[in-house]
Order: sequence, then C-alpha cells, then structure tokens
Amino acid sequence: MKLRAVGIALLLSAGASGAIPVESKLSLSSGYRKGTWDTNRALATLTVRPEIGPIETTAQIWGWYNWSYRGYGTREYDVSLRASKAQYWGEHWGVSVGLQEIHWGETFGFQPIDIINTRNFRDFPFLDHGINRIPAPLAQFFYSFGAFKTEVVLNPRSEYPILPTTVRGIPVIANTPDPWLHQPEGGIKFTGYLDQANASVFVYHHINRMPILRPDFAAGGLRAAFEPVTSVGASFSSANQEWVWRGDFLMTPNHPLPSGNRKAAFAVVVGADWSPEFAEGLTLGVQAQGDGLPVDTNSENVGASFLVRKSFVNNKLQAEAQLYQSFRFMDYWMRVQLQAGLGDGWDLSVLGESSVADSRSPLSIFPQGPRVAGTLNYSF
Amino acid sequence: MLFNILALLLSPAWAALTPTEILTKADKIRNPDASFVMKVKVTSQGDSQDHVFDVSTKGNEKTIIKTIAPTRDLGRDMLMVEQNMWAFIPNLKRAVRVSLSQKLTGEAANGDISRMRWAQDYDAKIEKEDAKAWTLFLTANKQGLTYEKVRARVEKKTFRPLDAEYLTKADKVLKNAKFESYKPIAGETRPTVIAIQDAVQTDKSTRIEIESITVKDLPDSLFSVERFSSR
Repeated sequence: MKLRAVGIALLLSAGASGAIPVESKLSLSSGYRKGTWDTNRALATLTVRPEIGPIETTAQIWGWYNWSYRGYGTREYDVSLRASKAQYWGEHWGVSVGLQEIHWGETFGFQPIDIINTRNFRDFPFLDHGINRIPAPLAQFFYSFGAFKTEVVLNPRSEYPILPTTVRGIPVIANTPDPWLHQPEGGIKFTGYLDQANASVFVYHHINRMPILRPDFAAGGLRAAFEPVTSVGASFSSANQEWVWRGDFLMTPNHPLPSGNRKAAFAVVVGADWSPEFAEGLTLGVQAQGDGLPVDTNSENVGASFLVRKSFVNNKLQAEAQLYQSFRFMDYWMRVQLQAGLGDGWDLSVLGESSVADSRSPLSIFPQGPRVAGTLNYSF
Repeated sequence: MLFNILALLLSPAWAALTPTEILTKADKIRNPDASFVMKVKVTSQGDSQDHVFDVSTKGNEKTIIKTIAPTRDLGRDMLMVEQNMWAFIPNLKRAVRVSLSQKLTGEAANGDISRMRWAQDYDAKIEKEDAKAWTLFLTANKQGLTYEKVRARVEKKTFRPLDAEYLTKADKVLKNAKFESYKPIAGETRPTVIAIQDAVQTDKSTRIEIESITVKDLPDSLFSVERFSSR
C-alpha cells in the first residue's frame, strides 16, 4: 500500500513538473441496459515513460468515479496504479519487472490464451482487455537465439479477480477465503519466427482464470473456487499479402468444476482476416471456435466468430462489428462500435452490444441482454 | 585506340551501370545508408488533421513507426521486421500482425514510409531511357511487399528518383508518386516530399513530408516484437 502511494506521488509530481512527457486521457462514459442505467463513469488516465540511462520505465495511474453502477445507485471510486515497471533490453535478452500486463493471444474476440493476468468480470467490457485485465507484479525474461525466442514469466503472488456482484440473480460472495489465492504462478513460452509467420508453445502454472461458482447455502449465495492448474497452449500467426491467419489453443487438463471434481477444459480459435487493397480501410475476419467448458455436464461447444472493421474519412470515423454464434448452445454475443475523431484530441465512441448465454456457459456469469453505451474521450 | 580512350574518359559515369546499380544509387539519394530516425508528416486530401510519425529505420528490414499526432492515435505504432508487420492496439494493449499493404493514413500504405529502399526488394530492368532519365521496371523478388511492381524514373545526372507508378501483379496502376522538394538533409540532397495520388480516384491524394532525418545507431533489440509489445 505504501509502495503504491509512493508510486502515485512520484507519477503526479513528474507529470506536474513537466520534466517528463505525460500522456493524459479523460473519459466520460454512460451505459444503458434493459430500462436502467448501467455504468456511468468518469475516468482519468495518466502515463509517463521516463528513461533512466539504459533502463526504460513506465508508470500509469488511473482514477475513476462511478456515479451509478448497474441500477443499484452505487457511488464508487478508485485511484490505482495500472503499471509501474522497469525494462532493460540487451542484444539477445531482455527483462521487464514490475506491475504490468502480459498478453499472449493472436486471435480477436475472446483471446482464450490471455491467461497471465486475472480479469475484471464485474465490469466486463467484452473486448477491451486493456481495461479488464488486472495488472500483476510480474517478472518477464526474454532470451533469443537465431529465429527462436524463449520467454519466462514469474508471478510471486497471484491476484484476486474482480467477480460479478450477482449471477442469474444470485449474489456472488466477495472475498472468497481460498487457500490457493496469492500463490506463485509462472511458465515458459517458446516462439519460432519463420518467413512471415510465427508459432509458439507454452506451459503456465496458475490459478484457474475462469471463476468456478459453487453454491454456499449457509451464506445464501455463490462462492468462487480458485485452485492451482497447469495449462498448455499454442498460438500462431502468418501474413500472406492481404491475408493474416491466426490461431490460439489452450488446454487445462485439471480444471476445477462446480461439483468439486476436476476435468479437462480447452479452447481453440482458428481463423483469418482479410484487408483487401481495393477497399480502403476494410478488414473482414472469420474464426472457427471450439471449447470444452469447465462444467459438470458434457459441454463441448463449437461456434464461429466474425469481424467487420472499416475506417472512413482518413480514419476519422471507424466502425467495427463482432459477432459470436455457438452452433450447439444458445450462446450468442455481438457488439457494434462507432468511433469518431472530433479533432484536437477529442473522440466519441458509441457501442451497442447484446449477449444471450446457455446456463452451462461461462458467458452466463455476465449481464445479458442488449446494452448501449457512449464514451467521450479527450487525450492531451 | 586513342578515340576509344577519349570516349571512355569523356563518357558520363552512368554510361555502363546496371539497372540494380542505378536503383542502389537512387536509394542512397532517398535515405541514408545507415540506421536513422526520420520525422514524417502525412497530409491527405480532405483531411484537415496532419498525421505525424517518428520513423526509426535500420537497413531495409527493420522499422518502427511511432505515432506523434493526432493525439487520439498516440500508441498506435507499427513494427516492421523483414516482410512482417505488427500494429500495437492501445485499447487491447497488445500487438497484432497486419499485412504490409494495410493503409497507414490516406493513400500512404505502411510500406510507403517503412520500406523506402528498392534495390534489395525488386529485380530491375531498364524499360526505356531518354537524355534525361531512365525508366526502370521493378518486379518484387520477395513476397509480402506493399507493391508487386513499380515503374520508376531516375534522373541520369543526379540519380534522383523523379516519379513512380505502383502496380499490381497484373500491371494495373494503383498509385502515382512524385519525389519533390529536393533539399540538403542528412548529408545529401534528398526528396523531402513524396506526393502520392490514387490512379483511379485521382481526387484522392496524400503528401508525405520528411521534416528531418537524423543518422543514429539503433540497436537490433529495438526492433524485437517482445519489446514492441511490452509497453
């Protein structure tokens, strides 16, 4: 706590002194879901990147205030560090130490192998993993030899995810006293780079990232279970003229279940996106998805996800639509977003999203039904 | 014999150059040989907003394009290593692979400022020549380049590139480019403006203005995907 306060004080004084370039952003967002206000939030983000000799450092702080949250009328605020890290890069190796986020996925949408940081499942903006990832104190080491790279990630203390307040109307009990939380995590990834392609394999020991909710009748709610698991995975991407091919695979052989048993859970996403030369600013993507969910019933699922992205007027207006449709469950999720640059650092984005989820699906822990939201940003 | 010796002595330096040698000399006019950092302003027709980039280049194979303006695009940077290109997406805090042909802004493709040497990327032949210039026809000798074919005119006296047509594999002209405003910069008189015009929709044009070039030793590690993604 003291360290955090010192970090925030240093960051604010560095920015105020003008000694270090500061990236600042103010956002005002408002959401509406099923006849009630969703989240109304004012957010300020400040980032500085001072270099101390050969060491690159990054510090980011955010502060937000919710004047209403999901129809409860709850007023909340938070001021916290989002990043506080130091990096050094040698000729064949590099190290990055401190509070940070690490991302391993190649595909768009759910990004199943993005497992190093825990998530904020309460506010869950589906795709904005930069917001819903929770930064963790991580040490990351790189070593490269020819076209191959090795990456080791160590986390001395796993972070607690932020859980939804209710699931299907049942309260979720916060602050689960789980003996496994805050245990060390870590893993290793190998990557090979070929001509216009790269492929990786990895193994990572961690606490299960998808919360497993078990009934706690005495407490009158659902209690999340977090237990140690070991995941293995792979990813690739490859470009060929206007096409980019991508894939992610994750397998957790010993994932906990609501019943207290364990079984294998997996997710695989393979697809491509196409940015044709003749249609300026257009990208179309399609992905096949399959997963075996961590629930007690047989629940292998297959589906497809689609992406359409188009920029207009020299990127001043950007439109993006993403859709996921399951072929076996009733799972469905879509999101349409428009972002307009208003000039002088201002931009406005409007999004509409909707989801419907099978009770067996992890998607069901998030609020369902249509939601619209608008955000006004000012960067300076 | 005497006539032959006199002819050799009086003939211009470019008389016996191969197309690749001409291209190499033209590349040296466009950019310094060594690694350098370049500040570039890109202005597109109908766009009141200038886009400014810091471009760090090492050889022809390694480039980082860092967005300086507009402010709302800060962090939307790009890394090119050989024929691979990644874009950093700030709201996802991750780098994703993109193709070299994707647009940077307006008519400027990523490759227009990240890959500014022709000699290593294209096989060249002299299509025609007149007293003033050679017209070289370039065909890509590797996959993944922004343009499959280029028709470029190079001035004989100075080896300055004058203009170019960027073509598809089927020889359809996509864009026309003019190399203008030659000024002394980084130890050489170089073009400081590249004016690019869409060949079909001629009202669509983009002006790439090189504001400064600083020759600077850049470490290889600057161009690693891991470093680029980790910010």
